[in-house]
Amino acid sequence: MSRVFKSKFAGLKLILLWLLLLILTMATALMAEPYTVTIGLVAIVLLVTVVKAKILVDSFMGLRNAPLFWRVMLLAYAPVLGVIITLTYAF
Amino acid sequence: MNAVEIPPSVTLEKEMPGDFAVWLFIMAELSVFALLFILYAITRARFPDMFSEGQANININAGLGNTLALLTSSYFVVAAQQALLRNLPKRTVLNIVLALLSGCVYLTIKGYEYLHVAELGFGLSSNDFYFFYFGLTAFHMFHVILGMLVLIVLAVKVAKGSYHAERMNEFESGACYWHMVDLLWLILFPLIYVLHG
Repeated sequence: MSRVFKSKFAGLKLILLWLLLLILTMATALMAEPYTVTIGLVAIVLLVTVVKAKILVDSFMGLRNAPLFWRVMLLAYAPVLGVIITLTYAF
Repeated sequence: MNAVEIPPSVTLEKEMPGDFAVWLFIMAELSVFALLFILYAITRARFPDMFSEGQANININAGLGNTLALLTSSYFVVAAQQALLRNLPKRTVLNIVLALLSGCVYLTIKGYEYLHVAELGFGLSSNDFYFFYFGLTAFHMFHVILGMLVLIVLAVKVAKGSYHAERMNEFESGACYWHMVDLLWLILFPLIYVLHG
């Protein structure tokens, strides 16, 4: 983890990622406003969630330089759940 | 007996933050929640009208506020780690306190949210939607409270000088637990608050 946080612009990068997470979250909330959920909307909302989860795992948890097994397990969490949840809206 | 010195070229390139045991615990927690998320999604697919009516009574702004509060708290926890890496204990503690305040914002919003739903006359046993809504969010909230207790312990130990740039494995373990709580909410938010019916 240390290596991830030691770079010269780590502080600025962290702030930008935090702002990006906030913007993506607000965009997701706006998508819910029309109250008409289609499978396309479900997929988009969950895709945004996958992007947010990747930022959290790689940059906040600091798993970018972690052993492949653990990184894959954590990074796969949101996409796998996203696909399963999307499928429940398809049937 | 002299310890065997490992040359730098032989040491592992890959870094794993925190203790191995914490990662086993995190994987167990993620698995339990994954099962609950899937059960929620399948039950919603079976009773879409019931879930749609229930979700209409849940305030999305509360869910949004909860998400922003948790993401902000995670930001402050990483900022605390950065400060600890630079051996700045006061700044580390300050960032943990700010993370805790963000956690308090989450708990306050959650309290108002539960009060609002209760005032509408709904509870855990009203129907399947409210069972999952209260069950999942309250189970998650208990993890937030546990995470906040962990952060308090970390702050106290940083203030006492127990952690520094060369000794922060325990600190990383606590931080990763907190980020896991955030990761779970990132799934909960769209599942319950955003994707209606």
